Amino acid sequence: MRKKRILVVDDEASFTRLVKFNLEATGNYEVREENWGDRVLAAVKDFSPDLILLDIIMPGEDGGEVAAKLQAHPHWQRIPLVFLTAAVKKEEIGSSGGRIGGFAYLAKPVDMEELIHCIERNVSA
Amino acid sequence: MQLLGNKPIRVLLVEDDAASARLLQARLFKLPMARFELVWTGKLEAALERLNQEPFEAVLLDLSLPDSDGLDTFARVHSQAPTEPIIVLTGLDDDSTALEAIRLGAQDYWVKGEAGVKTLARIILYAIERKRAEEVLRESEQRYKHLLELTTDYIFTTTVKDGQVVSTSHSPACLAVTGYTSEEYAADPVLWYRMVHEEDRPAVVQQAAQVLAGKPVAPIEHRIHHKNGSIRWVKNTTVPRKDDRGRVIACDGLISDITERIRLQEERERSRQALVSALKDLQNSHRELKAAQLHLIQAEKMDSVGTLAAGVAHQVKNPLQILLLGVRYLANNLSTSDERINTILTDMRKAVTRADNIIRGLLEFSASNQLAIKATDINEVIQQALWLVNYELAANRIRLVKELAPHLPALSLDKIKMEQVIINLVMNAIQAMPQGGSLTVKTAVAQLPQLHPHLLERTGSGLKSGDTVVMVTIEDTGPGIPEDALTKIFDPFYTTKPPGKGTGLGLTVVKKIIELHGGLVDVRNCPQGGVQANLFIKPQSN
Repeated sequence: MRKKRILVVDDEASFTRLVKFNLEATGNYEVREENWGDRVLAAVKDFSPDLILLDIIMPGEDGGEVAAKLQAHPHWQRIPLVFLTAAVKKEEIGSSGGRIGGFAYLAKPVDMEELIHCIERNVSA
Repeated sequence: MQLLGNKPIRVLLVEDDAASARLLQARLFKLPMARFELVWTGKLEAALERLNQEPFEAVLLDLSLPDSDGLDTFARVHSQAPTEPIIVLTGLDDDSTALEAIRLGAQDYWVKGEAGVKTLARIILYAIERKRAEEVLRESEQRYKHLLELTTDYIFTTTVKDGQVVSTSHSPACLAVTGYTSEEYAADPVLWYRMVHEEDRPAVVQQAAQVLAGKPVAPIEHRIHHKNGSIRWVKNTTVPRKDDRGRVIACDGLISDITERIRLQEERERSRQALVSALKDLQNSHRELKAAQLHLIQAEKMDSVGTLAAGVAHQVKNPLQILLLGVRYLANNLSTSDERINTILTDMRKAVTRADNIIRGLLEFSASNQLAIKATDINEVIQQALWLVNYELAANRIRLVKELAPHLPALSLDKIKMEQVIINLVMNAIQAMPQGGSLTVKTAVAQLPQLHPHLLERTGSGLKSGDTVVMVTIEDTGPGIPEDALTKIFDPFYTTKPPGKGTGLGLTVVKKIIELHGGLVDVRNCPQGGVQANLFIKPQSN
């Protein structure tokens, strides 16, 4: 079975690195990190992810702007997006992930089980 | 006629017959007894005008004039000149009209042609003198009356024989004070008693008895009914008078009108009372202001804690996330036989979860004041909350007693937030009973009881004692809350739980959420032990 490609975008490198380590340790995912919002489009073009984990609050181009650009693209708009944010509380979204403006999102801190569960629900296989 | 002196006596002669007027003028002028100066006029209107312009010492008035006739003539002249003596001149056959004029205030009359001019002169002089005496008398009477009206004291004497009142006498000034004359007192021997105000009679009677017994008595102050119906205050000083054998033969007394003094006293007392009550009002307002201020300070403190907490929480969440994922990775991938490493990793993971719980509590507390309000049956919310804590109840061997009243009125609630309230309270109860016990959850419709005023005052809930409310009661059988901690339980970060067990935010959040719902929360120790938490929420108004 082909490993699912996950692009994780967060300005905090240690976070993206740990997501990569944990997801890849399962053997089911191939993960690419990106710490700059304005480089996401290039990464998507290069990596062709099956799902993008996207931090909302980032310096420079934030998650909302990145999402808008992806939505505007004829092919990339179909790539599932999951927002990751520290700005909302778990209770408000439920443990399996809620939706903001049609997008799934997870509240930090998120445990690996939750993360994987959410990826599996949203990923286009 | 010393009194009249040598000055000419000016007399106004009102007579329509010019000839007889001139004749009279001439004859009076010749008389040696006095010097008369006659001013003549033939008509009433002219006479009235002259009287208006200058004074005369007498008026000779013929009642039959071209422009007036009979007693009407007299009446008009008399009202124009009330202090001038008027002598009516009449014809031979008109005594009755003249006498009627005298009854109305004329000094005398002179029958023309019958009596001589000497008689007329004497009549004029006597009339002037009589009128003057009358005026003096009237003036002195008026002065006396005026003085009497100003008098506020009078004396009285009660004559006694063999202990019985024989007669009373009151000085004339009694009229001014009581409205009754001395004669009225003389005619009615118990008038002095009847005029005393009913409520003051016992004191007056007692005073009289002591005086009659020959004892000196202090003055008393009492009320009387004035003849005009008003009530007056008097000071009554009465002393016994004895004969040479020591027997009381009379009581002499002085009655002073002190109505004005009492009125001023009462007025002062009223002003004082007004001041006292104003002062009380001020003190009350001050107390209320102080309570409101405390409430504001508290609210402001809460708000700044909340704002700060929200900011800190977001900042802390990212590092926590990294720790969580890092620990997870190490736990899954560190192949080691050292059990301690696994224990350490487990502890670290628990620590991260705990830190996250604290932050979540803070965020709850600082959550926006917006509620997602819906008509809700509180029993449903309680059932859901109890289902969520089912595991903890069982794990701590706690017996659950549910007494949920059916058909409760709907409440305007944010279901999620209210669920949190119930969970927080139930978790507190569970943690208070680590050795097991019993948890009672009750709902009921009740009247809001008399709570500590402080509780009502500090919350802007708008609830008052006696309001119909839905009451939720959560009771445990734990050790209770130490009395000195009861005032602090709602303070943020205050906890009585062992380290790591409580965030100190549970009740703070409960209170905030309940107050957002316009309700009240009251936590107290039960007399039989354990803690009782009561929530009071007003039903939806229809």
